[in-house]
Amino acid sequence: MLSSIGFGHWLERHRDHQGKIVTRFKGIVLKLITLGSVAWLTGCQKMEVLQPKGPVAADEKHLLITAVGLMLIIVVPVIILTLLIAFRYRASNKKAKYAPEWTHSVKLELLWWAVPIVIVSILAMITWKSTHALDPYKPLDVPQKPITIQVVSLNWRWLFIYPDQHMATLNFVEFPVHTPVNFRITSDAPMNSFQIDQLAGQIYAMAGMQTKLHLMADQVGDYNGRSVSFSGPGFNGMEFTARVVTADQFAQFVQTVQKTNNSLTAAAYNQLIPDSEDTRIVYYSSVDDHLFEDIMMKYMMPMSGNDPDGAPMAISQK
Amino acid sequence: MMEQLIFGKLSLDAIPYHNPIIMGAGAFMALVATVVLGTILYLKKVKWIWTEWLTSVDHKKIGIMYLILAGIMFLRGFSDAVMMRLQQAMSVGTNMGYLPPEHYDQVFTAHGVIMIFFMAMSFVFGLVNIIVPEQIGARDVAFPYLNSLSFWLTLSGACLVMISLVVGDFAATGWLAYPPLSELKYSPTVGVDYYLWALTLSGIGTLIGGINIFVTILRMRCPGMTLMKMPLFTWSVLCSMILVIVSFPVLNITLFLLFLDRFMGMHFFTSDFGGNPMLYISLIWTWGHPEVYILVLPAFGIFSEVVATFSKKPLFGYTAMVWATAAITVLSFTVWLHHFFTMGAGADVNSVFGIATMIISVPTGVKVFNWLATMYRGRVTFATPMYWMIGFLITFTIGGMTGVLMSVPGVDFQVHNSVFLIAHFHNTIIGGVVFGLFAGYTYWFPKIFGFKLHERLGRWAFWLWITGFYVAFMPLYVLGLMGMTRRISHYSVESGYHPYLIVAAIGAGIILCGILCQVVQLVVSIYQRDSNRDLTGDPWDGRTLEWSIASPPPFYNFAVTPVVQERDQFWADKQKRLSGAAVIPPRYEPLHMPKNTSIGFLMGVIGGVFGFAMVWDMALLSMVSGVVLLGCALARMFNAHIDYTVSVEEVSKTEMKHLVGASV
Repeated sequence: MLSSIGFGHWLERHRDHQGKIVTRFKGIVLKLITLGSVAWLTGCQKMEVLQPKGPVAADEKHLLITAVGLMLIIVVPVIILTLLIAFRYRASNKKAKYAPEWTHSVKLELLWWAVPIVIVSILAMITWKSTHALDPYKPLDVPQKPITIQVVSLNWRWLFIYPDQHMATLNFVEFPVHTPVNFRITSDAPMNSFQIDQLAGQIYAMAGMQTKLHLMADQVGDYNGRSVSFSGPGFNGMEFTARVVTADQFAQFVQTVQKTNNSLTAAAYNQLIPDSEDTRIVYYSSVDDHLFEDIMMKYMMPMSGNDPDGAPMAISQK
Repeated sequence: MMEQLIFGKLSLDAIPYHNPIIMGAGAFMALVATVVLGTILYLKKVKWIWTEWLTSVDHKKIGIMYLILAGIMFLRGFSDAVMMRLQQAMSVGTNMGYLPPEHYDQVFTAHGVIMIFFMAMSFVFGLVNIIVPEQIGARDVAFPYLNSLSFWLTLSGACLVMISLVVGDFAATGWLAYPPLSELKYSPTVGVDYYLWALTLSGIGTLIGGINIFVTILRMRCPGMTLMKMPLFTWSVLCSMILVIVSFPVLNITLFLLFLDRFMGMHFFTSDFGGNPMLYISLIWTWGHPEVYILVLPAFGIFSEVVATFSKKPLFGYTAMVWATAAITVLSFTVWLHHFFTMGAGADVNSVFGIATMIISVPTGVKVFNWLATMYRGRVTFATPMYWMIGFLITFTIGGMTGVLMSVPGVDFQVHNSVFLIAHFHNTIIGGVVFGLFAGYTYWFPKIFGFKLHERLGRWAFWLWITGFYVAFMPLYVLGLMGMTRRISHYSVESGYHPYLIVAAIGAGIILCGILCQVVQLVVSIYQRDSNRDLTGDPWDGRTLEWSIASPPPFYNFAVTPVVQERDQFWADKQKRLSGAAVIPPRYEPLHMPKNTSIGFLMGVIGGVFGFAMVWDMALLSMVSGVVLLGCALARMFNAHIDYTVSVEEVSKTEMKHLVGASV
């Protein structure tokens, strides 16, 4: 800010014989303003967290706004007070009262212990309630029948298994609108974090473990899904499209996938384990039963290479 | 076989000849080292460097060396920041930027590690080392040799990070090296080993340093200085050192367990064989959250001193400030889980830790109000430290707000791991820690070196820094809400991130100008030192004991041990003198001082060699250096001649010199 004032001042002095610089300077300022407003506008269109398309993300957005609002009750006065007090009690202002021995005031100190305590208490109550309401493990309280999708994070791709449809997709997920989706999430790679921010917050994907996320979409559309926890050099590509469609379109999608004649057997899955940054979309018309469980369980019993029934484990140990 | 024993995994291939950026940085480092060594040799100062600095146990000199280390590592860490900003500003759509992911990942890891462990920690320890003994009327720290050892171990850790730039690679895992990514399976190169050994060496150094300062404050206060009469900076350091003592063993052990995983094939944190990466994440944050307060508490302490001095008023609500600091100390151990709400803990656990986190904002808020009340009805002089103070109050308040926001688990699920988080913690670390350290640096510079820093350049640096900060980090809040993830090195045009990242890069450029101003300020101040000399020892009209002695203080600090009756004893003394009270001529006594030792320096060097050998699996070298390291420690233990007495004549001679200097 200061630098531009100084520069402007310098320009003013040189205006007469250096009109060119002024025009150029104006040009730069105009360009910066244009750039700034373009940035602002595109930003407003894409503030995904503030443009929820499902009940979970909508609640989280309201929570965010409520919390900020509550805190501004303290933050704004503090900033104004800082500037006012600093200005008013500057050494050169001899009119201001000077009280060099005034170091303690029970009343005032009680006040500024009390105000933050009250605000934090309110926020604490909101936190307790909202955390339980928005627990990602809690199934949504809606009458519609949910759909289950199992998610596996790979190095560096996302695999989606539809256990009820016996099919799978790679780097792409599609589900019907107004239908609760129960995600079951694991990893066959370093830790990742699964998030479709316009629909719900994230949950970690960890090898040998299952995490859960429940969400629902209110609107048809393509939403950005991504891993938000760094997982190595291919991390940039850990993105996918989450397509929300009508029930009919989803039925059609299931048919399309099931017609591909491409089955995700244990052997085919093993092909997916090595590092790859190939983020093309692949459909699998059928999936081995318990593939998801096997992917998790291979970390539980790496010594034997066998599952409890004694059948050989088909998934490779890498 | 022999080659394997000597060189381990190290070969000439470990040097990335093909990478011009790395080789350029390496050449620059070599050039600086050559110039420094050459100058020392040319001026025939080798002996002076050895006796006055390398083997010194004087807390002031060790503190100055910490500050120099912090300065150098700050430039390195900031270069990393600029590289990241440039990469993200360029790398959109078909343009892949100039850093491939493998390199970019090392850059952001190194940035975090360097800024926290080697910039901020060294800066804090530098100021603490110099100022705390002077504030409590002591002649040195409790364990002068351990103090030197702490510094040299920290330095050897920093050297390992710098060497990793040119020989091999550095971790590409993020600054906390979460497994399983940091396990051998996913990070097979030596990068993570460099990380482990650099942090192990400096972590041990920090732990020893923490114990040292803690004992110093508890045992070496001058007569009359009860705990509730200590200056608030000393109080905040005491609390910070308690945090060091409790949390750093956790870091050291956690890193050691990860080392065992990688080196011995154990399975503490692997995904398979019963290991659990979540355990590492929990342990590392058990250290990591208190670490934030280890850094920010001393900064709060600095601001408490600055605001009182420049408002010409005692600190408002001293008792409340002490209790608030103590409360933060305890609470900081109860919130670490908020770093992984998203790992699947239940709603009960998440809410408890979320609420615990919010509670910290209460004592912190009280501190803010007490600082404001200190300025209220004061006579506020706006020297540079006060600019940092005002900048801090505003910036830190905003950072605190976004922090409390993220302590609500429902919100955290959305913005965790996004650049919103990056904006938040830079908001608090730059706005709190860095501004605080700059305030302390400007405030105590005349005490440390005997002359003031250039005021106008200091103010320019402040304006550039604060403008640059807001331009660089406010866009990141917006980007976070747009869904931009941290640690990505490339994104699509449709994402809409690009304009914001250009603005952020411009912000980094403005901060760069601020840093250049600070460098110029230092050079100009040294050049003009004769016109800025502080002959009184009290350039700001200070209130605490460090201002009662000469600038720079004699090596023993206090010729006569001060006796304290009040909180702002020096201020009270000055008032008495003004009212015409008689000044009693001092009666000197022989002083008991510690002798210099080379053991700390040697152990630092050998420790660095040991770390390097462990990184590269050099069996022979690691065994030899390990044994020598142990030998050094033992040799020191059996050395009884570690102190000497300064005669009365020498004390009065030194004091005369300072008096003459003051009267000129």
